[in-house]
Amino acid sequence: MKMNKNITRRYALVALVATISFFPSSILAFSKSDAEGLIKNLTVDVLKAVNEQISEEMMFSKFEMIFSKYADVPLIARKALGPKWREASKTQRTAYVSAFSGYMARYYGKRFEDFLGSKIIVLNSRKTSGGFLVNSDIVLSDGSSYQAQWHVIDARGKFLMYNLFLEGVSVLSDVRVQIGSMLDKRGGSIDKLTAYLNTAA
Amino acid sequence: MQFKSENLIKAILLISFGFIFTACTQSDPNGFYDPLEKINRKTHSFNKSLDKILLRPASKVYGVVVSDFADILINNFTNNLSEPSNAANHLLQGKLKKSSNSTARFLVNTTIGIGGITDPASRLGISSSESDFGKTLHAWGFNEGAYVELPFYAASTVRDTTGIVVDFVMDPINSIIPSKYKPHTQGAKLIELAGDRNEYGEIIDNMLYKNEDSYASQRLYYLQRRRFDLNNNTISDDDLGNPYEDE
Repeated sequence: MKMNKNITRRYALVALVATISFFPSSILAFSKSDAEGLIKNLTVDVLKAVNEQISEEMMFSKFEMIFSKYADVPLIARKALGPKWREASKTQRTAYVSAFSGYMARYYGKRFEDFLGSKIIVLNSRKTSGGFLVNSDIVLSDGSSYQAQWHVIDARGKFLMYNLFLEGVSVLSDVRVQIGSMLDKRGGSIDKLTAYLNTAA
Repeated sequence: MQFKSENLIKAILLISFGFIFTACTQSDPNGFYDPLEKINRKTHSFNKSLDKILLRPASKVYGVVVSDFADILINNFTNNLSEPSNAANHLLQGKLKKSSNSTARFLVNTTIGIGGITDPASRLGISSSESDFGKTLHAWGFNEGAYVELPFYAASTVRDTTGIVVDFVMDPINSIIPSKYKPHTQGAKLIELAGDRNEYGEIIDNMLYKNEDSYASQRLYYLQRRRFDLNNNTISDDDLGNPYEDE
């Protein structure tokens, strides 16, 4: 009798764990406050890195860590490359994404440098297909303010930053323009592009 | 604020010209329509060298010579000169509140604000909002038209270029200010150009001299920034794209 009770309990526990772990991620989808919270944490970390008295190189490596934590870097890398991605082999893709991750940190980092002494206020968000668009104001130290909108998406059950719009200008489109031009200048060679990305800013 | 009939005819001609160009346009998958890219790129190199030898050095001089205080006065003065045009365009777009605000700002700042060099209207809570005839054409349903890079003027579209010309010939300020002062007001606008170039110095330097393809970057910045402005600072679902879509 006693043993039976234990078995029942164990079954209940297993069933519970199974339910939680196999629950479709779409039903467990994140909420508005999750998306806003992500951007709050991201911007706090970014401003902390910007305001620290460290070398540019160290700051960029901090940004790389911040992005790997908060952003869907592999997806951004793929989108920045465009249709060329389909032609690339698995090794080429891995090498490219790794080089892109450093490039993205430097590229965004150069723009974030201007945020020295500024405040980022997360205002609100709205639902979009597959994610949220989080509205924020960047108030620079001289009092001027800019609008920044962060596109947060459901990345395979985890919510991550996908794009940033500064005064309406998509940073992803901007990066895509840069990558496209680099690729053209290198005769469409993804290997040459990857080699260049390791040093490009 | 009486427009000369000659100017009115010119404006009507320009609008019809603009309509021909904007009525039959299609966008590429990026949402940019740039059939004149070849010519535009040539103009871009011209503008870039113009910036390098003229505007950029002038802006550096401006930065050194003009104090922050004087910069504010110059800014106020040229902003005030554009208020009648703002008022007219808001009116044409049916934005009565904004139109009367611009008119009130012009009256207050020109008188109490000593010819517009100070801005007491803002302190009185009369908020400013800029407008132009390009925005009016947008409000009237005209398409953006092709992207154009104008010599001396940089990025624009067919719709916005039409707007620039109409604003120039129809500017109500021309009928308000005696023509003998015209060189002064135009001079102030030129100085302000150097001031603006100085203010946005690093952003423009990065765009023109550090980016891989300064032409494509400028096109992107101008078109997306302008569309954002025209859509009351909102990003549409189209702008967001589809992150999950394979290409």
